[in-house]
Amino acid sequence: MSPHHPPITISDVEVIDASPRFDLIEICERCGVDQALIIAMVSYGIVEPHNDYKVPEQWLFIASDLLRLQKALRLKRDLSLNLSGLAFALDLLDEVNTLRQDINQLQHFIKTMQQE
Amino acid sequence: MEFKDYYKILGIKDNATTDEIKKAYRKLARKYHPDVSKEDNAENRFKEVGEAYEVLKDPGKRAEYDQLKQLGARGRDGSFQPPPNWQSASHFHETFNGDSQFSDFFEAIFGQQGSARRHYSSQGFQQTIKMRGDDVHHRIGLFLEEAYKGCLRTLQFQVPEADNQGLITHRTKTLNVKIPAGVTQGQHIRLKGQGAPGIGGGPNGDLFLEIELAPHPLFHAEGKDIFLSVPVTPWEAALGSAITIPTLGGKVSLIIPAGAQSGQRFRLKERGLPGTPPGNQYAILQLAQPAHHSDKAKALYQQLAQEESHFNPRQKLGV
Repeated sequence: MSPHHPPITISDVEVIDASPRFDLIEICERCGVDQALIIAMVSYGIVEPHNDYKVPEQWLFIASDLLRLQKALRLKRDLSLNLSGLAFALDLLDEVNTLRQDINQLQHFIKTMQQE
Repeated sequence: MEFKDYYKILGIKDNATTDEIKKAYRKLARKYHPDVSKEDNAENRFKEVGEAYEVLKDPGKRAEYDQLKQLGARGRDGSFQPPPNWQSASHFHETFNGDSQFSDFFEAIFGQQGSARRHYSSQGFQQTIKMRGDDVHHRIGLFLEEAYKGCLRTLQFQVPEADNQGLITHRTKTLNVKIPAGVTQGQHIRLKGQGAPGIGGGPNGDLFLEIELAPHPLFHAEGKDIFLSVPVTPWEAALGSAITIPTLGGKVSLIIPAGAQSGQRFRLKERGLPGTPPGNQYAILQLAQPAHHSDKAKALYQQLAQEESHFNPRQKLGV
């Protein structure tokens, strides 16, 4: 049985805004993959660097790009997807998410209309 | 411990072929992948399916499992005990990059030492491998009021942890996190070093929290801006008036100018979510009137209709 661990209190958190802050080296380290794979994933449009496209050393990514890459790598590993299929799946997932949000909002709207 | 019927988990017959097993696994992995699935309990189902496939795809392990299924003692409550002196023949080793967490049942069958628990530091391993811990992601749902004021959130989740021998176990970690005021939908909060532990002296991963705002009955948030639909009567819009409307920070007075139109937006500066700069609240007018009018009111409307008969609201419709 695991010993009792007291809760850790964190009162100083970092809110990550939308500014690009992760370079290619850090992205690779956090994803545990080689640069070549990230470069290939960029070439398939899985994420877009937020500055000069031609020089990978200068690429910068935002926090949601990092999440997207990590999610992409999990999907690639668990479902044995190739990069083209992966890019396609992610695009469809994005679309599904947007549609779900729209549906939620519409349902909410309909509900308030009915109440009135 | 609970007996796991791997065949049932994959939805296949006991005599399924390797191809059938593979096919069933692939289908369920797509269905329950935690990054894709919206099913309840998807993560556990995905792990279960992965564990079942790990055993059944390998003819050696499958044979052992089948044997156990026949021989294993079952308690009255359905609990399962492997036969005494049971030892797995397959020296199963989980691959290093795998992230799965197998059940007690699996470990009882295929052994603790050589199986699901990963050795990170056996015999000089620690000196050669130095790896950053994985980043961990969670979503946290907040009410708009909480996003406005900031709040304290207690988070509990399972984290892998290396013990003295370098074995990876999982424990529950509790964090009390102060969410600052003014976070917005989809924004991320990073807690440095609170992700998975580093290996061989590597740094810990970070914990990323993605903010998910619950739909609010009145307000609708876009970034830091807050939108509110405000019903007004035709006479309030026509004559202008001072009305009271809610904001996240409390009630405020809004001056409606005479001749205001339905759909017109009024900006209440810096009444949105706080920050630098803070967001605004937008009040959108919506004309509302009683469903039934008194005879006197009807007479007044008739008077109004005569007075403003020159106005054609459907001019743009070409009629």
